[in-house]
Amino acid sequence: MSRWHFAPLFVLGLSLCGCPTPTDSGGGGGTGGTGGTPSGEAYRIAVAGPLTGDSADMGASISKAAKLWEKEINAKGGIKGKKVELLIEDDKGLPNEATNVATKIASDDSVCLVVGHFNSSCTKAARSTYERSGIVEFTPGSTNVTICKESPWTFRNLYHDGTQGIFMARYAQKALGAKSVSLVYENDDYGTGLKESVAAECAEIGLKIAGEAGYQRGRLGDPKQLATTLQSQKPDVIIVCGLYSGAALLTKAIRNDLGWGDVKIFGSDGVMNAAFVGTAGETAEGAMVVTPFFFSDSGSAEAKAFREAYRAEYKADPDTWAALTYDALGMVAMGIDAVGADRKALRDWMAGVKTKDAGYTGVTGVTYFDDNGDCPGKPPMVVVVNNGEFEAADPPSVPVD
Amino acid sequence: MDIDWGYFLKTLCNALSEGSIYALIAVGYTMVYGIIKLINFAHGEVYMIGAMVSVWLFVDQQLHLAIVIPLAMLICAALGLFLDTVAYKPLRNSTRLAALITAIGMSLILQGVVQLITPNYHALPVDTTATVVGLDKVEALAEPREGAEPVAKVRPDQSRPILDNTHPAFVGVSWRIKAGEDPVTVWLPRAAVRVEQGLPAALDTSVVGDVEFATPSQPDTLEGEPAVSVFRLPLKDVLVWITAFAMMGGLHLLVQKTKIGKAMRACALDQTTASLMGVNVNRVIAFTFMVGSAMAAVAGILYSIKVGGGIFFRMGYYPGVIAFAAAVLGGIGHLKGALLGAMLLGFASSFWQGYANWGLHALVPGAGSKDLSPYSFAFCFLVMIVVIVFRPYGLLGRAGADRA
Repeated sequence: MSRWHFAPLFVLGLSLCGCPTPTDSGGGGGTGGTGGTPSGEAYRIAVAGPLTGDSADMGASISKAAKLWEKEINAKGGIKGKKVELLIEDDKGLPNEATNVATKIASDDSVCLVVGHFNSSCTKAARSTYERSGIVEFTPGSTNVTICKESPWTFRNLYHDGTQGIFMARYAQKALGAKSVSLVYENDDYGTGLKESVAAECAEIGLKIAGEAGYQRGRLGDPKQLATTLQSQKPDVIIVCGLYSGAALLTKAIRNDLGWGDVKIFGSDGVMNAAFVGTAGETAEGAMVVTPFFFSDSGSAEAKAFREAYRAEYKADPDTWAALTYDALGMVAMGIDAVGADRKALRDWMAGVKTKDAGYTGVTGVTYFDDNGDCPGKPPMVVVVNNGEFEAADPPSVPVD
Repeated sequence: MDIDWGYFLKTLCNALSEGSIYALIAVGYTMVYGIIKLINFAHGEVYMIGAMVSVWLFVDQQLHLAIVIPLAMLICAALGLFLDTVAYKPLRNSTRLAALITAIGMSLILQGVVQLITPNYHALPVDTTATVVGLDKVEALAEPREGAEPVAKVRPDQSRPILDNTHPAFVGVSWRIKAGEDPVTVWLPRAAVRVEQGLPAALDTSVVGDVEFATPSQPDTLEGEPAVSVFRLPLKDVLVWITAFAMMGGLHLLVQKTKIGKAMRACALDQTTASLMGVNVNRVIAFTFMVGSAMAAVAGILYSIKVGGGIFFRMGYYPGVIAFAAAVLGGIGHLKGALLGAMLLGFASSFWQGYANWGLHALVPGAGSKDLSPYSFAFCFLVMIVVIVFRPYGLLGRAGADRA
């Protein structure tokens, strides 16, 4: 009998170490290829992102854009006369799942490149697997500063959090007129990295940090307590470094539960998703969000064409992440067209795209890389929730340099 | 040192709400363990499904909350019965570890099934919202009849309309057609409108009463800040406490005063003897699963009402683990222990979130901008470990004590 009294503790330990992976059942749901095509007859590109889980709404945009791109390029006759086949994998937004997905993709020799992952912690967790196998990891969403710097095989087509953090601190001070800010962050690579970057810039420009508060992604048990803590710090602006899912619950708690209306909520680009407004409802009104790209009526011809095609296909508007995924795939096609589908040749080609003129012009602007594989030349901008929809904020931007 | 009493009371109130929800989940763990010595790891998923089902019934099926709560309880009770019959009953006489692994397996299966059906976050909207279906803009009419002159094109919108449901083919929506303008009543074809029922806004903002406290001297208080710290007791939290304590009281009465409760206690003491005395042990166990699952459903509903969102397939995992820790902390097998443990962990979590940084800066000069607040869950488990080290059977547990 006495032996078994330790069982609860044992099992608790077991569950804490081993169980955060929910299931594997969703993994098969993502294969986007037409199937049946032998790998020799088509270029195969993997797309990895959070199709389910707490960033699933972003994963949905990513996979929709990828499928649309696949359909379009094959309708145009593929690349150099060969069809393209996408392999869409679900990492659930969890780092350990991302490593599993990476192993699966990297060990499949027919896959020439990976567009993904989305969450910074996933891109980072999967990175060493891709690096070991010598396959490019091209992320259309991860902004953590160290991601590209630490691996020659990792690239991205948007700014990194060094830029975003500086931008957020300056925008809060100059455009929102903040005297003091509170920093809320998700305790993962994306949230903490961005928070540090914002905090460093606040110190630089003399913007007071009223306090910091963190939470675990997907474990925001009581957003009201987080909101209460923030209220006691009396900030002018709350800067949220995290995803839409947590930000929406926090916004709801701040506006509804506490009735705290006079604080501005300023979210990082992880909040840039229609599901933020969907969850927070009316309380999202007036919230400001950073984004690498925004569809405006005065946008480029590429942006307009993509928006039309996406609307025709899905009866919904594309978002930033759809556009970045579409651009990443477009750039990969350009690379395959130039040097073929050899993994190493593709990496060298990407590393060689170093100027705006050599870059890929897509929906979100021109993609080219610096020595780290980071993407300069796509500055952040700000949107605001008005009447349930994102629209460009006034001013949309402040100078970063 | 000055203490901000308003802030303290707010934190206390959040702690009680969090503890109440953990308590409702923890009783499910503790009752099942009390009777068959099984840790039902799928219990967190029952809680998740309770929240899912209540959102589905309330938002999509537009049922009244008074129907949603018993219906969700019934559905979860059926799920508990299903779990017992399919997963645990066939293993009743095998080793405990087999049943335990099965429980973890069931937890993963339930998560996976829900993940396949509904992969995203869900929210409980505040107040009834109406949305135009599809992207195409719909012509709004001034009168409810075919061929009437359109007044405007309406796009998907988040405003709070007043709905007129009297016409069979049209819905009257008092809507802001342009931002900033006064709402106008327009008529839309019924098929073009999706109505989502939400919680009344009053529930979100009502307060039972408020107290004012003089704020401690804060050198950096901004200009124009009021010199008092106000604590408002939110109606929503009070409802959570009342519901949770009423459910716990009811459960206590069920176990102590009814015939089936007596049978449960008998099974907890000694299953063989109980069955010799004519107790249908399998039926009692199934009943225990059903009651525990119904309680978890209530916890799920209370969570969705309290937070208003964050309902997704993985939401049951952490509350489940915390509630299990609470049950162990209180002395697994004891109802009162589960309540005590859950409250303790609710307090640990909320007060850590609210006071960890304050304590760090008060105790460690030069701690700078170190932030301890993300570690509230770690603190909960630390509390549990410390208690278990000194009281291995939990706060109320005794070696060989009778259970249930």
